[in-house]
Amino acid sequence: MGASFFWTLPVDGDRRGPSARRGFIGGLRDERRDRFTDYDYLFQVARAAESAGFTGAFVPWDEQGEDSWIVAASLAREARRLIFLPEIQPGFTTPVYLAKISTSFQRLAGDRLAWKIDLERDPVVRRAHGDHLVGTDFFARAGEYLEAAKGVWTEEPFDYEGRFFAVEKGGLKGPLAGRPLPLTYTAGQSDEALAFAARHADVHLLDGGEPSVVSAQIARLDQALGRFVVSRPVDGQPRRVVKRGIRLSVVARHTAEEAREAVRVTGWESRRDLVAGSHDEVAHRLDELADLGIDQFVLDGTPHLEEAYRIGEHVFPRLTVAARPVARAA
Amino acid sequence: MAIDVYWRLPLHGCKGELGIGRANRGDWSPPVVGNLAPGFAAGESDGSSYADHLADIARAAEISGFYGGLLVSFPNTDDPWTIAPALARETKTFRFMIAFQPGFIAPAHAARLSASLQRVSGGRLVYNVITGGGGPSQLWWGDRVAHDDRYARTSEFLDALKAVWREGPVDYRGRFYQIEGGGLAPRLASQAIPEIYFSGSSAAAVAAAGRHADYYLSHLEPFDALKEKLERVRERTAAEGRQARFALRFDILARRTPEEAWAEVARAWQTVDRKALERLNAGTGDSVGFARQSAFRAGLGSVLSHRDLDVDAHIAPGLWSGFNLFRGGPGIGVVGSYEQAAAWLDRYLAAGIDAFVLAGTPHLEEAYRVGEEVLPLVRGRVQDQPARGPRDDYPVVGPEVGQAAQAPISSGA
Repeated sequence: MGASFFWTLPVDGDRRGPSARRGFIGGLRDERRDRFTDYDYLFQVARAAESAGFTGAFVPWDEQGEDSWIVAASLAREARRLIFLPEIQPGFTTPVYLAKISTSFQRLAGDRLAWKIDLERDPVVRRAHGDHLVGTDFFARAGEYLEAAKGVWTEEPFDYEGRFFAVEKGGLKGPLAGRPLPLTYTAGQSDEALAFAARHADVHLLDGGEPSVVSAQIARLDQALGRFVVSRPVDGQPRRVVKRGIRLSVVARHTAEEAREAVRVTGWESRRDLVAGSHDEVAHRLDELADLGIDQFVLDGTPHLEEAYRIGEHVFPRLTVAARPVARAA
Repeated sequence: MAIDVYWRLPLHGCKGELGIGRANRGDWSPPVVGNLAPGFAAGESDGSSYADHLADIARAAEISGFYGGLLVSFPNTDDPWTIAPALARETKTFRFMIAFQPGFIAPAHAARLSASLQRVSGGRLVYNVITGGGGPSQLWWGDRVAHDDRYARTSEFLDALKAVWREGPVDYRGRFYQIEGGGLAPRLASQAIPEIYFSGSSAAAVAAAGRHADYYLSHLEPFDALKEKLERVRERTAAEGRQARFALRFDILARRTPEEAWAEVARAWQTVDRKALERLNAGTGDSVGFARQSAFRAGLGSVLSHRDLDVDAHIAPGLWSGFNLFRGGPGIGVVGSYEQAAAWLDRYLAAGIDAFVLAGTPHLEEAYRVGEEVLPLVRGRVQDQPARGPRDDYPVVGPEVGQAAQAPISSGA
C-alpha cells in the first residue's frame, strides 16, 4: 500500500527567480545577469520534491504563471523520477493534439505523464481564450475531448464522430502507439463534475477540509459512481474504479503556534483546504484522510522549495505505513 | 541582415545511411541489435529514449554553427510542442523552429505556450506555420476544413495570436475565433513573438504569407520556377506594405569531391525499388507544393538511372530530385563537393534567398560535416559583406567566414 503524493510547482515563480530578483546595490559583484530563468527555480522545486520523496509534481494552469504543459515538458528530462501532472484545459487544443503531444511526453520521459483535466475554470478566463461553452455543453465537449484523445491513443484506425470533434482513420501508429495512457485526474464538487469523474476519471480530487466534510464529498462521489455504474457498465466490469484524491494546502511547523504564525504570514487564514499545525498534527490529519480511502494527495505550500523539504523531512516519516508516499503512482 | 541557417531535427526518426532501409536511430522500426536511442542488446531496450538522440542532434547543430533546427510535424512524428520544451534547458543557442498547423490549437493558448517557451529557452522559439497537405492526413488530425478555408483560418489565427500577445486585454471577432478580453500575463506578454516561417504554394497560401510571413519558406524547386514563385510572393507581400524575406529548405549531400558525393547517391540508389519509382509521379492530397514537385519531375522524362534526376544541369551540376525516393517530402536537394554545395547556396543568396533550412542523413554527423565544410565556404551576398559580423550574440557561422570570403570560390563543376 501507500499513497501518491504530488507537490505543486509554483508556476508564478514564488516571487523568486530572475523576474522578481532583488539586485545588489552595494557594489557587490553579481555574475547572474541573464544567465538564469525562472525555470531554473522551477527545476529546483521539482528536484526538491523528488528528493523529499514526492511521487509527482502537479503543475497548475495559472493565468498569471508559466504554461503548465511547457513547465512539465521542460523539466521532465532533468527530473528523472517524478510523475508530471499538468493541468489541461479541455478544448484549447484538438483531442488528437492532446494525444500526440502526450505520447511524445511518455516516450521522452518514460511514461511519467498524468492529465489533470480542469473542469472548474472561470468562464470569463475561458472566453479570453476563445472558449465560450458553459454548463452542459462544456462538460459534453470535455467528455468528447477525452474520449477522442483516448480513442486515438488506443485504437488504430480510429473513427470518431461527435458534436465537437471528428476523426477519420485516425490513431497513433508505430512507436507513438502502445504507450500507457496517462491517468486522468479531475476535481470539482458540482453534480456535473462528479458525473464527469464517474465517466472519465481515474482519480477524482476532493477539496481539503475537516474529515467530516471530506466524508460528505466522498459520499457524493460514490453516489455519482453508483449512478454511472448502474446505467453504463464499462468493458463488462461491474465497477469502474475512480480513486479518491484530495487537494491540500499544508503548513507544518515544529509547533502548532509556529504553524499559526506561518499561516498568518502567508495570508492563508481563509484557505478552506488548509492543513496547518505541528508536524505530528499534519501527519495525523493525512493519516485520517488515508483512512477515508484517499490515496492520492496533491499538496501545496509556500515557499515551495523549503516546504517540500520540510514535508519530506518531518511529515512523511511520521505517516503510518498506509499513507507513506510511493515512488510511482499505481 | 544576417543569413540564418537551420538544420532539420528529425522527429520522425533517423538512419545511418541515405538509402531506403531501417530507421535504426530511434524506435521507428522494430528495435534490433544495432539500433540506437533506444539501444538494443540481449533482447532488451537500454532505457534511452529517442529524445536523447534528438538532443544530440540539436547540440551537434548548435556546435557546428547552425542557428537552430526545424522540428517537423507529421502524424507519425514526435511532437514539436513536447520536444522543444524538453530540449530547451539542455541547449544554449539552438532555435526551435516548431512546425504546426494553427487549426489544432486555440490562438490564445498557442500564445501562452509560445511565450512560456520563449521564457524557458531565452527567446529561441520560431514558428513554421503549415496549413496542411490536405487529403487523408487532415482527417487523421480531425480537421475537416477545406483547403482555402484553412488558409483563412491560419491568417485569422495569427491575427488573433498577435492581438492577444501584444494588445491584451483585447476582443477579437473572427470567423473561426472569438475572444473576449484575451491577453497574456505581464511576464509572458513581455516576450517577443516568434519569427514566422510560412509554408504553402497555393494562391491562398501566398496571400496569407503576404500578410504574416517573416520568411516565406519554400522547398527547393528548379531555379526559374523558384524565381517565379518568389516573385509572386514578393508582389503579394508588397501589396500588404511589407517586405518579403525568403527561406529555402532542402537536403544537402556534400563530400570532399563530387565523385564521392555521387558515389553516395549511387549507393543509395541501389536500395530503390520499382514501386518507389512509380510513386515518384503519383501524389495524393490537395497540396499545391506537392503537385509542383511532381510536375518538375515529369519534365525529366523516364528515370532509368539516378543521373536522370538531375535538375538545372544547364546552370551547374548538383541539383538532384531524387531525395524523396528515400523519405517523404520534397525531392530536390544539393549533391556535390563542398565547394559546389556552397556555390549553390551562394547562387540562391544572389537570387534573393535570406535563410536556409538544411538537412542531411544521418542528421548528427551531417550537421558537423555541413557546418564544418560547407557553411565556411559560403561567401554570402556581396552587399552583405560590409555589415557582416556577429549578429547580436549569436554568430551564424564561425570567424572562418571572413577568411573564406577572400578565398577563390569554385563556380561549380
